[in-house]
Amino acid sequence: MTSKGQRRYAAQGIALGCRADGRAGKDYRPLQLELAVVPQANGSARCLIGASEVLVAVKVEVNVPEEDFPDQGVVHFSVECSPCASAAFQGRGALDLGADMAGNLRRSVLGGSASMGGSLDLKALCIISGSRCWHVHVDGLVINADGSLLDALSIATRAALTDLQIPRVDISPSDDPEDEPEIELDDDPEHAASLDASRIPVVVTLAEAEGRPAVDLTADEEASCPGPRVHVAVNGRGCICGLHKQGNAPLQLEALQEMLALAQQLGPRLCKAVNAQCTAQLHGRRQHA
Amino acid sequence: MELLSPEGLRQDGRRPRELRNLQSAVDTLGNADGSATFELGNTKVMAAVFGPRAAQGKSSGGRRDADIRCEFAIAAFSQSERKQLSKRDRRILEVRSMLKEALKANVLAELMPGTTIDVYVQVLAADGSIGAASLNAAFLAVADAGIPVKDLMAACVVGLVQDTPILDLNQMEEQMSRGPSLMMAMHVGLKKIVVFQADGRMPVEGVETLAELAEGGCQAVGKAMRSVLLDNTRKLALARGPVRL
Amino acid sequence: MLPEIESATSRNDRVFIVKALAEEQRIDGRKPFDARLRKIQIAEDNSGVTVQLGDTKVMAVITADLEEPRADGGRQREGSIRFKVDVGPTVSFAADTTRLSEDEQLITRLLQKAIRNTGVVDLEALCVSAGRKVWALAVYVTVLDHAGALVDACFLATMAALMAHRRPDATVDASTSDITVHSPDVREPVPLSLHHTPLAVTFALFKEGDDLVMDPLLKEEAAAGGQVTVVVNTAGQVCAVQQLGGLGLSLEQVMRVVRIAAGQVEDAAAQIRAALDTHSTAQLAARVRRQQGHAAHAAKAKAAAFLDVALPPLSTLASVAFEADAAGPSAAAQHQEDTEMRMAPPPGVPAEQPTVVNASPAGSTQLQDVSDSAARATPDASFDAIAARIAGTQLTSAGEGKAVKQKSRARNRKSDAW
Repeated sequence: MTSKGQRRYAAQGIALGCRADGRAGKDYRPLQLELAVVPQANGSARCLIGASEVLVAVKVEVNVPEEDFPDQGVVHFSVECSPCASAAFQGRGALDLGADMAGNLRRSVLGGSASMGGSLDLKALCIISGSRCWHVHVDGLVINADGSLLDALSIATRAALTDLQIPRVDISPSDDPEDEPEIELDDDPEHAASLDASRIPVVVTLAEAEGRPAVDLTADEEASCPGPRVHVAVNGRGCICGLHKQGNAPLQLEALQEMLALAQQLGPRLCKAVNAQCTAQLHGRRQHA
Repeated sequence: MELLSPEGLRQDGRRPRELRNLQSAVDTLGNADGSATFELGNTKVMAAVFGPRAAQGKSSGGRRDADIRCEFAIAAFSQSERKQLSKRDRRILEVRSMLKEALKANVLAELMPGTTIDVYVQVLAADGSIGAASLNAAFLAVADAGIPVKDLMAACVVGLVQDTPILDLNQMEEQMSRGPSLMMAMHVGLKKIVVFQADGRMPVEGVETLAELAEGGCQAVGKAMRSVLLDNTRKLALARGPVRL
Repeated sequence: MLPEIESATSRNDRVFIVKALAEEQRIDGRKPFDARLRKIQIAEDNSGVTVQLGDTKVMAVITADLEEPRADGGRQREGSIRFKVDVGPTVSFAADTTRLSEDEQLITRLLQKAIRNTGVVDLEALCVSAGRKVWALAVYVTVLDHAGALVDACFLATMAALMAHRRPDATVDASTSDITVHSPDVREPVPLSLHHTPLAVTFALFKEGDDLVMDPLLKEEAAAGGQVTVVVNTAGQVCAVQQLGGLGLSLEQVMRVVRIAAGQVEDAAAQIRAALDTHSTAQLAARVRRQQGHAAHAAKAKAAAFLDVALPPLSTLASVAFEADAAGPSAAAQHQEDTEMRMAPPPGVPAEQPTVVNASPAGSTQLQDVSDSAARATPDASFDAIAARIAGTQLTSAGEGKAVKQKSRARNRKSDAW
């Protein structure tokens, strides 16, 4: 672990807007994005923010819809923190962190418990109302932990859902009207449909040191800044889709407003960067094919 | 469905004694002391080594050698059907104890008394031969961490399909073939077998045929791993600059 | 190799074991490829099998339940078999619970691979009604004492239990398609149909793998540089080989171990068969004894006259039996056949009687008497054995006494010298 002196140095660097790696408070580390990294998944993306590395894979399966929402698909979120990612993740240490981040991702993408105000069109995932729909599993895996894991996961989720290819289904009504109609999956990638992921927000995590907000803290900086953390989900138009304050430390309203303003400014930029990467890579793949 | 075509080719177009495309890299993760990825076709495994560090846990203090601990996990999305395996799942535990025993035989633990070495292996994409790929990744990570070992250790899986021995089974071949299979790991320089796990019914000569093919496979995998390690060392030497005595 | 076992044996022990082995000597007096004494006991009511391999003691119990078959493709007509191995923490003073659970996992996996995956049990024969009900077998293996070669004992117990297992017969009514499970009294329980007999042979390896011993003791396992377990069936087919870590072995060494193992299982399999024979004889006797109760009851209710015909005076029978005994077992069997033939069931006896051995209650009574007298003969034999054993102990204790005397004399001499 870092020493007390190192921790103070890092905290003051954030407060003065000149951090150990030369960044200002509102700067992200370089972002790298790679699509279609897991051949077994229907959509996947790997995201690197500095040394933090996460992988998100999306798999779909045909299943029954939830009783209350017969004409909607279901999206599941889970996040696993591989013990490879950090010495702190061994044993059962990272289970809570993973569940926490999965819940955050879920809320930022789907909105409330009834999936109202979510950024995905769940009705598009319906196959036969009341009996069959797509279940979408969004599985995140933290490969290397160096801060800003939730930011990286949300970026990778947006990219993986952009990359997602849902197979076409052929519904052939069976001879007996009482029976369930038969559903056949079309393996041809030419016929696969994609999902509109343009409204999915990204999460910007902010911290504060001596009243100054900062984004994208490294693991060392996170350890040095005991103050509150604010996760803000912002979509491409700069609208705030979700807000979650973490930690017991109190937060001044002015500081929160400053943070939100910064998040609103950074969110669209991140979305743009993700879009640019996705289009380039999807375009490249299409040309390759 | 026939796993071998009349021309003797496999479903993915390989010849019976052909490895899949093998790619590996070391020093891939930031936090670990040693790390590696190992890819065999669509199987991809990542490994990280933390240590040797001061003994962790209560039982390992005062030991005369290093305590080697292993964790093994398969990502939920890595298989063709999404499946979240618990840490207590039998398949997980089996690979875990195999990794541990093999590394114990490989690492010169008596040179690092009172320390703990944690080896974590994570499967990112599973398309057969997971155990062998995991052991290869783990070995590369151990080597990357600068931990002294007996020899370069490499592993591979072979099987018998329609009386033909085939090398490096993929997921479909593992599931469809009801024939015997053998996972073998060996010290490639010393030519000593470290792990030998044969399953399925076969005559004694069958074991010998499979073992001979596996030996060849291990040598081929070992050669590729050696070149990766050598490249990495060269890179490190270059970064360090000329050595002045 | 394990620290906990390592600490349980002294360094001297380990050095001694390795050195003695250079002269092909083992600490319990065996040669390298001798197995320890095996004892296989099958409970008379088929409730389980206890196997002893030296001091290693393992119990296997099989249960069969009617369950719905697994839904995934192609398994609709197949029953299932699963294994549960339990190594209690009391088995050895070196026991470490995490290590034991690893042992449990490894043995379970090996049983699955070598018994389930190689198709020892005909799973299709366990189907009662396709897609509806199949027999689900569960093999519970409990380790009672661990003194080395645990896997071998577990395989021995499991295979003996599978061979001895009888499941109740179940039939499907053709018209109503109801499933009836028949009580063992009504219909003879059905044995499992087994395709082959895989058994495990464990070797401990010393000195670069050139020196090896079969069926190692716990101390030998601790002193060894590694272990190899080979599972082979009686037809010489290898069903599984397991070597994890330890000493590296060359390909030739591994093959040598496999070949030696292939030659060793027949002996163990023969012992299982012998135990099964003893078991079936004992069971027959027990069943007939039970039958006697039924028969006497039924016969009393029928007619006293019939009894007179069916049962010759006891005294004559006993004498006949003794004669048979004197002439040896084959003669006894011959005699048995004779009596059975003579005592053909008289007409009018209801055939639906829940009989087992033979449709006639009279015939079975007859049979009972013969075997009963045989049973009566056994205590004598065992008495002889016990007498001999007591004599032996006396002998040894006498010898020990002598040794003690000599020792004390030696001590005396020593004190003299002082």
